[in-house]
Amino acid sequence: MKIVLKEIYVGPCGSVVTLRLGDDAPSDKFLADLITSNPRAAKSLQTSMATITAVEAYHNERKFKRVAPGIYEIKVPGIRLYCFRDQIGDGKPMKLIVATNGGTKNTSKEQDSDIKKASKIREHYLSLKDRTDVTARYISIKP
Amino acid sequence: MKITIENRPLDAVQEFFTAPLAFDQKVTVKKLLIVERLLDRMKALGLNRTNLAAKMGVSSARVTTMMDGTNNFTIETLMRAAEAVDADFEMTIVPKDHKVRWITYRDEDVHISFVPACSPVEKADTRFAMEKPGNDDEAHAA
Repeated sequence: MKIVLKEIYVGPCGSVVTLRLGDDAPSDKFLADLITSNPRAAKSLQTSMATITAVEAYHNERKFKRVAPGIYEIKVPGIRLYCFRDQIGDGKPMKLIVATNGGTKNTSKEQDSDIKKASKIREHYLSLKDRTDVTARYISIKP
Repeated sequence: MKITIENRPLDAVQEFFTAPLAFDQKVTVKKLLIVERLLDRMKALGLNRTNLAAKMGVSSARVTTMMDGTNNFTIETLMRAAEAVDADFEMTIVPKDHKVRWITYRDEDVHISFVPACSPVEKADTRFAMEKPGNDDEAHAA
């Protein structure tokens, strides 16, 4: 199973990464589409990433809200990026905001479906993380 | 799970999100980080947005727009918000090539010897160099 964590933003207190499990990388696809279809919303997401990773624990639920056990949404007008928190590495662990998938702020039914998808991705990732026969690639921005 | 760290040329998504923030984005980040400090104090005091609004003498809707980071705070508003959470509002301007670290402390918790000076410490121009120790030098004898 191919696992790839790709850094897309690095702040003083953590990094935002997209997650690929096998051939599936919904957060990467969502963000790639958003950049071309709605760059303004993508810039708002970048601002939110800068804010959330500037502090150890971010409390403002208007911008970063827990929506299910272990699942958060990064909120900008009309757009939701779903994610979970993780840490990797021994010694000085790297703190990550792992983006799972994204969606528009449509009906509550569609949002529920997006949140369920985020939870499934997180569960799958955590089940693989516990295994010693699994290797993940971390694509770092820093040289 | 083992992790291998790689570097590759940035793809389009990475290029976009690692681009430097525009000025208006930096402004929004600063506003939201001030709000975050306010929320920290609210949490410490067990206050919700309605309580804060009442203490500030404003509507709950006003507090909600503050939390969105879209509000243009006046210094007066920030001072009122700080008062409402039993705090003071502090601020500064620093040269771009400087970093900032805030140290907050209570007078009774710190010995006077460690209280930061009010004025910058002047660096001495003197340069010290180690000379070869003489034969009667105690250190050399040791």
